[in-house]
Amino acid sequence: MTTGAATGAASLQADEPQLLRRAARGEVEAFDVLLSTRLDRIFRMSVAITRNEADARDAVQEASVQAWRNLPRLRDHARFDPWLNQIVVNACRGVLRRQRRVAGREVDMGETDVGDMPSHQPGRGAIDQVTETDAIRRAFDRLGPDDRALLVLHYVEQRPLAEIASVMRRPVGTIKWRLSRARHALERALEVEQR
Amino acid sequence: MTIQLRDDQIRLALAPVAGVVAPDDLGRDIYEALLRTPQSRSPLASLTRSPGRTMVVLLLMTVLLIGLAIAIGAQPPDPDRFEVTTYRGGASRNGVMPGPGPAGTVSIGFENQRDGAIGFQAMPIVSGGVVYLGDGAGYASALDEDDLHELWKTFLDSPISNTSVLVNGTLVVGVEGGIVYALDPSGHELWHFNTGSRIAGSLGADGTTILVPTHAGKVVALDVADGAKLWEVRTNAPLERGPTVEAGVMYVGNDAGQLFAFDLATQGQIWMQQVGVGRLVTPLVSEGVLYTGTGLLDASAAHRIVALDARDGSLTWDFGTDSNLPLYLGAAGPDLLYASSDDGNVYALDRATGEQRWLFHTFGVVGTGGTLVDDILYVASEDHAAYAMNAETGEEIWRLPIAGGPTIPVVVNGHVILGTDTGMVQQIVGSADPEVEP
Repeated sequence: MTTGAATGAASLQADEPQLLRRAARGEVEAFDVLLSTRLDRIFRMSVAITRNEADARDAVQEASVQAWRNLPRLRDHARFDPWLNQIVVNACRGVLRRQRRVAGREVDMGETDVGDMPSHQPGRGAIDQVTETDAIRRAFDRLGPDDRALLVLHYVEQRPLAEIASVMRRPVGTIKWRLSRARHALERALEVEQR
Repeated sequence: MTIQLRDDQIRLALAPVAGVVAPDDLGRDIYEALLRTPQSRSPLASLTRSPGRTMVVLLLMTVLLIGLAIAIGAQPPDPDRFEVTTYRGGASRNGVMPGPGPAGTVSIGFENQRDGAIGFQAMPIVSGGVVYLGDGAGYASALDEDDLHELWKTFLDSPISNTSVLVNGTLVVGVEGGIVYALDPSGHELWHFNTGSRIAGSLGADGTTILVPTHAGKVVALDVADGAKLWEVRTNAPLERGPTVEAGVMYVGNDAGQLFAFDLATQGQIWMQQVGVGRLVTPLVSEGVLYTGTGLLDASAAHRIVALDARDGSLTWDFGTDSNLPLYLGAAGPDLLYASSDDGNVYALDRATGEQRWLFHTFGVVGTGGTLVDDILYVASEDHAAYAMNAETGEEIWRLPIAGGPTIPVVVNGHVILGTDTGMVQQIVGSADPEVEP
């Protein structure tokens, strides 16, 4: 996957530190190459958080422009990937929050009126894997942006806790606790789904 | 039915369908957007690339800066405005702010999405009609208090995760990289001091002495006039929370659960008490009683609010919850102490006994305590809402959605100002004129 100009940019086969330096000096093509090798990954991460390809597209585009604009301010180029992840995750959270502000107040799981929820009748005995996965996804859709981001970074992206803490701007201990809370919220949401 | 998910179940469900790739035209759209987007860079950086013009441009800039400084300096502080110049509203960290808060029906008045900001953890401070903020991207910014438009911003190289302090018109900012910067009212550096150690706790002040907590376990005292180091005191473990000052005594808690009292005149240690394990909450002192919270960042520790005699550190009472989740301090009223928790609750405790008087539930972590103005407690929760409640009864007065996980709400001059972890600054206003005590 390459972005706009990267396909023909044979002259940009430099190592990443050099690309970062050139991008930070304002070479769009260098940034384009850097982004092209990461675009699928950050798009998948955005889809995982937003659960919607159109929203993920918006988030990735917004994050890419933010990263380009602010790259000259990034002093430690070795932190480019966690820094980019941070911007992408924030863009996803922003997209989700804007939706919620339009859609109205988030429903607390503890007060959910099950009568209004999509019905899901598990089959006799154990739920088969496909149905179970679908139910977990619906439960995930009910979580807030921060919980979604945390769960995706930890379980899907499998990022180290220290990096997640950096992305979420919280101490590692707080992230551990919030992960536990997010997982519990997912389980509670799943319980509601399976009633 | 209680469900407990396994890691692999969560991973399988949340991973995008295999083979998801970015749409073919996304890269092109981004590229075209980049071509239309200028990069944000320091004007000085671009100057270095055109040395032939450097002297002329520098001369012009100097003239402009002098003119700007004169213009700003000529603006007298607005005497009708109240100010909040340090963490939790004052050196004693008692969470009481001057207000007034918004009256009538509340709404978001103005907001400002900070370009490039990666979230606010640090409480804003407000003085002379200006809101000062530090963000996770390393910018110190000044916004107009009335409409939140940007007055200036300065890049300080390293994230700002603590609340700055304003002393004699000088904004003093500590960054995670360990450097303390002093900025003038137009955002220009007056001096800087490298502590050599991470700064995560909020800065304190005692008169013109700036108190800087460091990860090396020291509080470093600097002269606000020129950044000269005056003295330092040591504790035995990292300081990730800031100092509290009242009546010439500095109280500070370290990451080993130890609380210290130092005489600011002599820098002598008055007492030290082991009040818990792990990180302590920034102490709050009021009427001779010192409060802190124990066990932050250690899930196995006891999370308790403790009240101590400020004279010798002896324990008066402690309070915990069934959930044993982290507790934070907010404010101290005449009779009640307000605390909050990761369990989403705000607790009002009897200051004399520690007994719970009332509880207010929100739907997210309340890690920012609460702000007290007269008989109203203002709280912002990670359920992305701000609340005002009757401080005596806990009865909700209003609630309003906000843009993200919040900082401590600053209540001053008829509005509430807060930052969020999404880099938004918001101002909550009321439909009626607030009542101001003469």
